[in-house]
Amino acid sequence: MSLLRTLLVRGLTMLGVLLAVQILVVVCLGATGYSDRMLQAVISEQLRGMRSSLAQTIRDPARLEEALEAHREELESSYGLDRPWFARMPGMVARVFKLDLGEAHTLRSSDGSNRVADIVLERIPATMLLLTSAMVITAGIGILIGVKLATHPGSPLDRVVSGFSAVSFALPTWWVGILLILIFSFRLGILPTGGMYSVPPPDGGFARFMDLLYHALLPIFTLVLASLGPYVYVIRTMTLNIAQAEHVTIARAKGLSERTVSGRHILRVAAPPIVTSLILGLAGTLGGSILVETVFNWRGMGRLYYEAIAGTPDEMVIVALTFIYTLIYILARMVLEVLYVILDPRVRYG
Amino acid sequence: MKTATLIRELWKSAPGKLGLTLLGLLSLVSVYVILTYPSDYGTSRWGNPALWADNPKSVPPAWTGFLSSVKPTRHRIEEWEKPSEVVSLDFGHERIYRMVFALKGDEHPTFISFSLWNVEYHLRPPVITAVLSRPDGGRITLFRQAVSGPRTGEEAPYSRYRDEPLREVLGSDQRVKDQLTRFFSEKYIKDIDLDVVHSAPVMALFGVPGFDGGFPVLKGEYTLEVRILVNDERDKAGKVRMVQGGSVYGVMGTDALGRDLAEGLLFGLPVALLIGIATSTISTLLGMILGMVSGYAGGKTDLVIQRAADIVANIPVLPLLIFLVFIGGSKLWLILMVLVAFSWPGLTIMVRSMVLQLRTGQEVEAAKTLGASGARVIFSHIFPHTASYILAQLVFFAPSAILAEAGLSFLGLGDPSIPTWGQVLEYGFRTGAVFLGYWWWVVPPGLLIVITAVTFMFLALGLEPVVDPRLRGRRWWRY
Amino acid sequence: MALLEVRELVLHYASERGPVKAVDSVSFEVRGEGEALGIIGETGSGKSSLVRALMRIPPGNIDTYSGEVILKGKEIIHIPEEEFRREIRWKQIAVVFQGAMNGFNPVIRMGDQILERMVEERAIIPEKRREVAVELLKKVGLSEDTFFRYPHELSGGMKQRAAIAMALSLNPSLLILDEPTSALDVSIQAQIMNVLKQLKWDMGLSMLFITHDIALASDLCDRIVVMYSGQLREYGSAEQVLLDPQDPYTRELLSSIPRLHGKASPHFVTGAPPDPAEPPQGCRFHPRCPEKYEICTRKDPPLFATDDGHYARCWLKGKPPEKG
Repeated sequence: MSLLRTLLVRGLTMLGVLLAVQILVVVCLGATGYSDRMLQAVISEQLRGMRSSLAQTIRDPARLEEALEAHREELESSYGLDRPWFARMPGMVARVFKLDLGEAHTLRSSDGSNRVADIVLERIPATMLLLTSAMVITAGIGILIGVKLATHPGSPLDRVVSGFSAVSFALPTWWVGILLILIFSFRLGILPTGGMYSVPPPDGGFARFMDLLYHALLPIFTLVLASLGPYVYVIRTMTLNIAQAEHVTIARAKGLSERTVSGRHILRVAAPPIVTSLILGLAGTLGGSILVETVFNWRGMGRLYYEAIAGTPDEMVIVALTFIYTLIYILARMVLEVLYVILDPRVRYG
Repeated sequence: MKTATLIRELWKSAPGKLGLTLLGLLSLVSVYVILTYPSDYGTSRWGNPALWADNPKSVPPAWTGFLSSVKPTRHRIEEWEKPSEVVSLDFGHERIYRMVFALKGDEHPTFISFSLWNVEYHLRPPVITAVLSRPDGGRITLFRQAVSGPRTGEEAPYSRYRDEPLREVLGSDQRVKDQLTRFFSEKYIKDIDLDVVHSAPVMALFGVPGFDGGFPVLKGEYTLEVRILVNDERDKAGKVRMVQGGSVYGVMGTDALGRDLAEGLLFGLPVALLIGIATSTISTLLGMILGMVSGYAGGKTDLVIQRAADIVANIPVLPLLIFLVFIGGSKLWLILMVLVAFSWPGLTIMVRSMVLQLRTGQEVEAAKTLGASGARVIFSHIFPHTASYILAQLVFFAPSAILAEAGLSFLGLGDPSIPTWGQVLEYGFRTGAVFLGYWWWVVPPGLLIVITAVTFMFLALGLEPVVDPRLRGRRWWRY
Repeated sequence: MALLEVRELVLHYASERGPVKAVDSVSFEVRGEGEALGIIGETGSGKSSLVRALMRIPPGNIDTYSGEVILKGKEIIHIPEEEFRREIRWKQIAVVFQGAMNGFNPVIRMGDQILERMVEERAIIPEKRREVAVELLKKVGLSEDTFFRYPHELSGGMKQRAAIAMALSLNPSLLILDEPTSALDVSIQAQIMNVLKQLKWDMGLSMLFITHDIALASDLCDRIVVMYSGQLREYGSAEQVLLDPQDPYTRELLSSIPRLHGKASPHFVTGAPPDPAEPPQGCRFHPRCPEKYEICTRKDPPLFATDDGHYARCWLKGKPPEKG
């Protein structure tokens, strides 16, 4: 059962990544004193609530303070503030996993909640919409163009695209987004500069959806444009290599139709390495989407990063985002890994 | 491979040639910047808004005038230590500083201002007046104010505006608007658009009422006078500066603070090169050493390094980068260190596999049989074989690091004491330059990032045939 | 009537330095009814290009591709590509390639690859697939479960057997074997040779056996062609060529085979095979030939008949034409 074993090893590595990120995050928070401050804030919040309720029963101010002080000590020890930060690490890791990160300073979710979990989680759909559609489109167009080029290696178009893909390694995605805004929104005025819906948003489900699509056009185009170049190049090179492989010559000698040869013996064989190149590009697309969301004011998690950094820094929102992004990355990785294993019977680990 | 041979090999290929040429150019400019800019440029100049106060804000480069049918107005700054004229009056005398300027462009000046330093008086506070004479005979008093009087306990001579000049941006005063309205209705007998006079008095100040309610520029010679009325011989005034804000500025225009973008962008070049080269050098060194150790030592060391490499190589870098820089503070060295920390695994894994291959190869076996020490084997028999790969990786790391720093800066995590292109872009984006179409502010910094990154890409491309085609596409992060 | 008749087959590749004469006017025939024709040559002598020329799968950079190939009395080089693909490839002529180790699609099961052409032609109903495949596998000595294996799960020898099974799937009249054993261990090589002999003797399959190994050729072939630098060098029955070689090159080749307890160390052909893009003037073998004389450096010899059905390309075997 080498397939299961392979998947298990990959899965464990991914779990290791998640854990490593968590530990790194928690150590950084602990060593810099952020975690102490965060817990203190939680405690003061609870004490404030307690004060008003205790004030009803305890009239004497001195005794009230005394009672509150006792409560404070109790809370501090229950949160582990009487112990050094590294002793609290496992608890912290668990808290991050549950996104139990308290409250944000200034950021609010759309229904007004200031819980970090609410704020972050409501942004996930927007990010996923952008990310998945960009990746699917990139993969689709990339395969089409890459294969097309592979059938005419050395043609002028091939050279142009190869050159462009080399240059596009050096293109900052978000700046491409800015250029596109300048061209399509400012100069031509045909596409919105950002946001997800028009103001006010149109009525009706379908109209709203079309409006969303209209606003998603530029951000998706930006992401696709930026990741397409390298991707096309990789697919082209891989397809070209496979097209020259021995088994393709034999498939031709067998008298198979050209459709079978290119479909079954070239593309089908190129599929696993194409998935690998998707895996390699995943982190880049993820990072790119954070910045592209920022540029286009796309209210996903990437834009939330910018908002959490800009105004009053909301460190716990940033912690939560880092965690969720790592999680999304790992989940996407696993999906692609499984796909790879399905596509390639050769996988063996070690 | 010797450096000279390598460069010769590089020069043979088109991308290599392009890369070397670009790198040479960028290095030359960088050296110029390092030699001429102060070392604390970021804090002492770029981050000091007072220095840029007299520049026009958010205006395009001067050369855009040649491309457009609308003629822009030049920026004009004049300074005087002595008055142009002194007029004696019964009760003292008036020192007059005069700036005569002709408007030839189709665009209004963006602002008009004067600054005054070091006023000293003995008895009565001097009165300062600013008057604009228009080519159509209009005389508008833009400013009239007495210098603040003696404070209790203060003794003559009273000194004012010594540390901080009196700086006045003229035209927005209500009295100026009233004068303008009156003048226009007397002179031009037309319905004038009071809204424009109120919302953009500078337009009215340098214009005549047009047919469509606007105020097209009134071309011709203007005089701006700053008069200082003193009543004591001993009273003094220091420097006077008058500025007529242009609608264009310099080679690359200005940002919203009036900063000369050419200056800031130029400073960004050595910084970008530093980020690229320092990150790639350190991470390549780290990756190489870890790979060699891992491959050569084997056993537990190998296992630990390989597991670590596996994990680090699979971490999505940007979120972690944001987190670490956010927690650690926006310092350039920290950004560099974090970039290094995430970029070694690729090389480590590759160097290790090469070392493993070589270690059991004949050359190393022979060297060991002859009694070579471990270090000697590594340096004389293993390192030379991996050197070309390592070099290619060195070149490959650089653009990634430059792009990563730019991305971080764009999110607002750039080191404020060291302006970079990413930060220029970030400020532009935050202040809406993108949506106002201030292309000169947002296009050049990105273009410079691309050019610098592409330089390294071309070098990598040129190195490819020299080294190995398999290196293509090995990248860990890009945005 | 011969099964396959090749007449002045030419395949020149285009290169920056002018045409590469990989196959230069080659003629021979395979008589059929279980005859095996051996084609012997060093690396770069044009053996593999000959296969590509016969199967009409030359690489992209063709300079000249001409001549006639007549199969069962029908010319097949100039018929439309689609007809050639449908009627000739695999149905009439099947190939077992040199690198059959990498000759299988790595992501498709062996059974599907072996039967692929039949399935594409709808020449087989799905229920019978298993049966047909097992029979094919048995012929080459492979077990039934090979059907479900992926290429990477098989050894080199097994893959080579499977390649033969695949070649047999449509009952071709001619089997071309392009160095079928060169990448295998000697013991596996012997097994494959036995499979081939069985096919030849039991099924009467005609073969074109291409190899650089004279010993293997002598084991299997009835007649032998020696190729050098894209040209046919000597051509005759196995006995004629191996026991009574007429061409100096063939002699040199034969004397390079080591003998048991031989006192003399094995001979080797001095020098390197010629650059196919710039073959030498005159006889292409003359720079390495121990018996060359004046004319050899000037004029390329034609094939001279030295015996009944025995030809050699050497001026020693025929009269040089009158000077003129």
